[in-house]
Amino acid sequence: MLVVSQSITKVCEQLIELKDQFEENEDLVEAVFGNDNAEDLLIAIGMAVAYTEGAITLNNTGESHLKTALEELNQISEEFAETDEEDDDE
Amino acid sequence: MSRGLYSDPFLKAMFENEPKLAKEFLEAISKSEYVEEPEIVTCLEIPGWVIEKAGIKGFKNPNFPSEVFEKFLKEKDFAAENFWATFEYPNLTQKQIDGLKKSKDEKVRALALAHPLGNPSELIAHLEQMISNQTPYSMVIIDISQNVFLSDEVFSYLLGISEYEGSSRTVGQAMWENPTLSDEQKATLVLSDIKPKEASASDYWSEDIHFVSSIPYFQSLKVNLGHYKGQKFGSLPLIKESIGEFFTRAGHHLSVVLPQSSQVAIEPTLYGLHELVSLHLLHRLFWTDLCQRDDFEIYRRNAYRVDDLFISHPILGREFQEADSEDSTRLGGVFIFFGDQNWLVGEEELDTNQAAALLSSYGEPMVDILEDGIYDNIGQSLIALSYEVPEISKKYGFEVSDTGYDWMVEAALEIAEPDDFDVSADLNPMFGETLSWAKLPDSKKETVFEFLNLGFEYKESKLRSDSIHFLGCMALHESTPKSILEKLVKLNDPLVDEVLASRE
Repeated sequence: MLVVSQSITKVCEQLIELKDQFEENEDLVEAVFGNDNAEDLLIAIGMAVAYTEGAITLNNTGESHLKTALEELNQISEEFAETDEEDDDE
Repeated sequence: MSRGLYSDPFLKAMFENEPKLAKEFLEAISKSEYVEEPEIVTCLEIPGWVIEKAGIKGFKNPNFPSEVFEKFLKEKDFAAENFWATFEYPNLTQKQIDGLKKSKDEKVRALALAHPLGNPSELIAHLEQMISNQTPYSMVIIDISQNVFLSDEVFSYLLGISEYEGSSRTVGQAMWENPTLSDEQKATLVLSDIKPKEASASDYWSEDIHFVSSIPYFQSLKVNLGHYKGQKFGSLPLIKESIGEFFTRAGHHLSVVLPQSSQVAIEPTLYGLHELVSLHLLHRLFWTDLCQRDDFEIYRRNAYRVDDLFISHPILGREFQEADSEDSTRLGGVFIFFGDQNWLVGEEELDTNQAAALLSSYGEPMVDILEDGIYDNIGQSLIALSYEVPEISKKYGFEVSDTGYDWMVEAALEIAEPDDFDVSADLNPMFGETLSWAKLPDSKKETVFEFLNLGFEYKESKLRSDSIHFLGCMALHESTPKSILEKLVKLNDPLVDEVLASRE
């Protein structure tokens, strides 16, 4: 998925959407928390929420971290969805 | 300090001298929810027509009308459902006890057999049966051991089951508290190695002692009676000023703090002192003035399940300052701050440090902070974490904005415990305080000293510690007459002596 060109506001929105899925989807939570970069990913979500609330400002490093984290989280989510579909097919 | 039935000398004087006024006063009480309060239902001067309005709470008063009690007793299952209240009635007749002895309810039968008009022999057999049946009403057996006159026969039986436990004490410990025990019975307990239960901190947890005649002062002095009592107090109409004035003329103990001179001698009593202290009238009398000094201020301190209020002062506040915060309420003058003491104003603030510590679990990684599965505060937790571990913001490329920390604190407020807050309190400037040691006539200052001297002599009590604190306040206050300062010297109390020395 191409996220580099997306505005940071949009990135934050997507990160928050992913966070919202946490409450309904325990397997996704497990996948994120079990990831080697779990700390970075959770910090990115925290940053997205805080940025949206106007509680933090971001520099280039911050924006880039959010984009990378979104990419990785989307990948986890997609892999997770694929596994789910495969399970359903079986 | 506990008080059973009592006589209110000021109400008695009103009945004798101003019966119409007394009736008017009691009518107001009888029409309010306050009629059920302990100082009303335990007062021997309260007539039956008022006590009746308190319902079963009035049973303990001998003036409760017997025909009304009889009606209650005839209700189905009344005694079983209200067994404590039923047996509190001091005018139970032989016929009523005989009826209750036949009750199908084991606790009612036990209390009836244990009554002075009951049957000690049958009581023993009944208690044996209750114990063998593993009764859920062990508190009835404890109550009998603690309160009923114990014939030698019953005493011997209870001695044999002294280890039996209920209501967090054994039969043996309960017997020690029985006021009717003879010297021989006490000696037997000692020889049997049965010890009383260790004294608890009940001195300051027990119910406050009030008088019916104190009610007009509760209104005029705007005292705080606590949440539940205060609600009932609120149902009282405004008491006529002339009623309070009568009690003041009769030398009511609460009138000792009023700035007007007293026409009659106010007799110092322990109960009077207890009431003055529990209503914080002495606190207000001294502290309001002393807080004008640079070295004396209200001091509120909180800790786990603790929120204490006292003062800070180099001498009078030292013991509190140094005491373990979990055990400070026993100290003289200290009380629990509930926030509804209207002569004080309190503030609670959660500072940024504490908020950050709470939300980040003192700087744990995000994976640990979020392990409880609650993600609502993920943004605030990040800010908290960056507060605790500042390198994080540089590493991840963000900076907390001006409002960011406020947003974090707001979230922390929802999870903060009372002892997480920075607390403070001060005298309420809007209260309109009228009490002042400086404004008290010298004759009344002498009486206040006599009250406190009485408390000073009441060894090993919270009341003694309270008295020492206020004697210390007296020693500190610039408006204390020389004659009292001389008396303070003679007390030979180390704290008072130190304060006196600091005056020089």
